[in-house]
Amino acid sequence: MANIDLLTITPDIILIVFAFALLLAGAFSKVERQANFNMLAMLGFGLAFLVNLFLFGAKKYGYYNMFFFDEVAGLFRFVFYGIGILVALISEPYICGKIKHKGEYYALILISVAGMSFLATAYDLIMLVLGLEAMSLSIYILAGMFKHDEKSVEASMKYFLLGAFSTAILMLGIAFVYGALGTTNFGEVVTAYQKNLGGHKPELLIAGVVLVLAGVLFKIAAVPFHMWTPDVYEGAPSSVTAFMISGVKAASFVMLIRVFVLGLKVVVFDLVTTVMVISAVTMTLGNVCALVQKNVKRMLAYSSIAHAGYILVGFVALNKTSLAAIVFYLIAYALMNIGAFAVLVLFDDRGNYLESLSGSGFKYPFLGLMMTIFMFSMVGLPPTGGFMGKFYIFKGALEAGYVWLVIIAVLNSAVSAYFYLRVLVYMFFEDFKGAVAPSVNSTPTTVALVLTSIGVLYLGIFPQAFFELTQRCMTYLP
Amino acid sequence: MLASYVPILIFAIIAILFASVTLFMSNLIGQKRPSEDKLMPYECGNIPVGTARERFPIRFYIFAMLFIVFDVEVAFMFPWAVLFKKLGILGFVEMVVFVLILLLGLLYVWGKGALEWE
Repeated sequence: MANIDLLTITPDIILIVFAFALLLAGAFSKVERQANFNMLAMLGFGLAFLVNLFLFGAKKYGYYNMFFFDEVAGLFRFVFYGIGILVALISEPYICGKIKHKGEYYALILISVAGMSFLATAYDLIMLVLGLEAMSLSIYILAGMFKHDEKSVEASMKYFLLGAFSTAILMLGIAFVYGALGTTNFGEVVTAYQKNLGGHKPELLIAGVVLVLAGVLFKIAAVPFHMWTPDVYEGAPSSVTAFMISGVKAASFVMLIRVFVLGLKVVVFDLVTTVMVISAVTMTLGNVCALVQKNVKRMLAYSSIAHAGYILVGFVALNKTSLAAIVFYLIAYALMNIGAFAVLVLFDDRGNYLESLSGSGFKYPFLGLMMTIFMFSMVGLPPTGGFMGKFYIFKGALEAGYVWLVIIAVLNSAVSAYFYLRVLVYMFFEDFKGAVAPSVNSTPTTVALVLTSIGVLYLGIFPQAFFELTQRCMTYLP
Repeated sequence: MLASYVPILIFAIIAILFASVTLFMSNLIGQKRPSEDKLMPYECGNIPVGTARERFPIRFYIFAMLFIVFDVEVAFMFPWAVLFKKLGILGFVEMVVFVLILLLGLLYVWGKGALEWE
């Protein structure tokens, strides 16, 4: 009778079951016996990944058209589950001994990833908000997981207050859109637009769409909604920052694409100019502010603002190449950020300041090499994934004719070389001061480092096959 | 399109005007003879003892929070019970899943020792 296709969300059900198992296991076991919780979390992500591999390629509607699973959703699910596995890998040596509630830590990461996956699958604005909140609420708590660290608690509180505010704005926008169109379902937007509005765009609809855009841009950390980013990314535990910087960014961009290209496609071309200006300002501000940072985490936070600007160029161009490039860029971006944070995590937060990294490159050659790969990728130098991501984004923008935007973006990446390479200057051309040492139990983090660096190099050297896959999956535009 | 919202605007303006005019007029022409009894905070006729911002044990907070969770559960169950026959087996399964999730939550709270009153 009802259109309930459980298969559309089976991977997320698996994640939620694992989250509950971890919560209960954490509540009923001693802290000393929780060392393998990350394995359990990774098992959950791995199972979800496999199920998604099995489902990938199908087009399915589920739950009264609340969900629509297509190639884009499938592709982004791979990204989220992959991020989950990597974050679970780098977490264990880092949080061991610092966090007493390990069950909650991994359960919240699992629930948060399930929320991201809902964002990528949602076919209705209401479902979208539920996914967004499942993701955000978990991350508010994760950011404050170091309960005795003032900065961590401050980050959590700041993120919570501003995030709740942005959700309120998003909800108001959805209410306006519903008031204008009479529906929140993506599938009914075009019919409602033709039938109820007769093809006109009333002020109410535009106001709603602008408010929704503001809510989405807040999560993306685009100017002028970026103020929370540096404080939150700096204060949160490094493993959680790695998760936020890669996962939330990818989830916000899939939200942007699904809401405006798949859902409210009748208004998307009215937004392009606005987003173009925001994109140019975002990357400039991110790069200029990153120039003066002494703290690597804070510098990476500003760099994430700048990268959001670059990725928004892909949304401005709005053709098949650029949308596929967004996916490609997000994957490369996630890999290089998790990698860079894995190095910081391995130094147990003692290498967060540029000064304290002095000389560590020659002292620990493996970590030095890794950091070099990730920093090169962030600047956008070949042969790394960061270069190919930028290349495809700019290619799409040039195809659409946004030459000036591309020039601004290229100039910005030239500026960004200064602060990314400065990390390497400190690591290789200064004397070792003995400030940093890798933590003792480092095997999982090393595995994550190897995986991310291989990924970054693979995307940089053999990008063609993967880019063609993303292009084939991006079916929203002809 | 926007014209249909004009009544709401008029209503809001009248509401604001009514409240501010009443307050302003009573402030302007009302008599003021303050006494100790009149200036005392109103607590349903009782004489107030001490400040309202007192410290109280945090464990009340946890119980209040848990109470809300199960209160909401009941709020969902009443409409479900009324429509039980119409919703059929699907509604039953969904409610079982919902209650099961809350039950796991209760188990978690118990395991964490939040139910112990020391």
